[in-house]
Amino acid sequence: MTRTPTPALPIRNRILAALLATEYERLLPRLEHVTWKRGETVYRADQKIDAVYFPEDAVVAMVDTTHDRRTVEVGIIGREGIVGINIFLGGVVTPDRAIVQLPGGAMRMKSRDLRREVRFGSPVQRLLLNYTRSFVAVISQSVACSQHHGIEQRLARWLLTMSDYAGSREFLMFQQSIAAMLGVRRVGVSEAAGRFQADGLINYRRGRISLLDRPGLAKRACECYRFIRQQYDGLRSGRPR
Amino acid sequence: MLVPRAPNSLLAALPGREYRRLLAGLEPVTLTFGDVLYEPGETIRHVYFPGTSLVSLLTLADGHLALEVGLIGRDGVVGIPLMLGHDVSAVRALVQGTGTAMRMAAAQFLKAFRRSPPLQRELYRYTHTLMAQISQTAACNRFHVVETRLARWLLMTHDRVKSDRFRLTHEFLGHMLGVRRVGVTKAAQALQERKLISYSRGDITVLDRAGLEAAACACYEVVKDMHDGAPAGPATTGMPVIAAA
Repeated sequence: MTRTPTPALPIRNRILAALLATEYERLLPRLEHVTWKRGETVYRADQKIDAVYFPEDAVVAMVDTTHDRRTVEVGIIGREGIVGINIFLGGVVTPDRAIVQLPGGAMRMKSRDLRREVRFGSPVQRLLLNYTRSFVAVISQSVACSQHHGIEQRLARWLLTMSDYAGSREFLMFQQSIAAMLGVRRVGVSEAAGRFQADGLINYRRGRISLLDRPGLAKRACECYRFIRQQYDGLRSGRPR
Repeated sequence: MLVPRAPNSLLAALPGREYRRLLAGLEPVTLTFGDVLYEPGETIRHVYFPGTSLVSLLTLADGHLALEVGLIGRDGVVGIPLMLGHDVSAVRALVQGTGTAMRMAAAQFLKAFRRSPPLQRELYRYTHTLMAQISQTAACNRFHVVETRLARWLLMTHDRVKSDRFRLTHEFLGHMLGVRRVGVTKAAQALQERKLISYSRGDITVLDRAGLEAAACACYEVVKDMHDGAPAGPATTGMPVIAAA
């Protein structure tokens, strides 16, 4: 993570962007711009959280780890959200690990400052509550997805989601990392990706994934893809009451 | 006026004055096994604070498959979306243990919620706890076999009903665990053979609590810790996150 002086504009995180200019200006002195590398750990599980992050182009996965060290992703956070909801809800630790999936920038705010700035009924609190509601819906869906949907469906969903976040049909991602997110073995990811490739849906070479046929891939994805999109698109269109 | 301590631990954690003020709007109700409190997409009419009752949150997959994502008892509240500014439930809330609860009409609750920083603090913290329970469930369902998950589920129920005996059908447990009935039957038999529970036509008796804990996956301990040791408040004075505007 590298820190740089805060650029005021453009505001790329949607929660921050939805604030009134006056409110944003008030928060700005408390915000610091950071840049993450791929694979960086933002939070370790059960660690005290010193700061929260409003991602810009970076994408962070919240990962739950079982006692026997196996992992599965429960939620993805990008420019629509905040990493560190727990702090906002009054917790001090996070039960999940947060890992950078797509490198990029984020705005950092100390937990202490967040607690001080977010007043009950304030616009920023309403935006954060609204995001929390969507995030709860997404992690609940993850429970069903990880249990009922096959690896191929889940891989298709995951690739589409990442491509949406990257804003590009092409992005870098290693199979090992995908396997850890889906909670499957690497060979399972290889096989499913191989089938997609054979069907002309994707091209995968040395960690570089290209989506060749998005509609085709969407047909192979589980309903969770649409569900998650709806949740986050709803955040964009519907301003909280 | 002497007010007995609330059976629900969130209400019990409120300062006496706050609780007494809330009490006027709270209505004691009995929730019965199988009652549906919310359906996905429906408007939330009441908030429920379970006492001896137990409520499951179920998510639907592919339109029909139900699967439990969270379990709420005396440690929690049913109606989290309201606290997050929405009046529509995303999940089905199904009563899975008959018992007492206190409920309050949604509009009245929101009024009280806005006015009471201690209530906000308790309920937002509980939201955090429930989120942890949900994400743990995602990992648990992904990796752990039915028998250990059944053990975990029975322990969670046992904790909340505070009784060694309760009624649950195989079909119902199948929904909770997202597996077929035959899978539940096999797992229940295995636990019975190990003399951890006795099971007869939906009547479950916990015979060996410690043994059941040993049989459950570690997820049980994780979730239990989250409930027992509610995260401590921040070092700063008060909780400005939830302070009244």
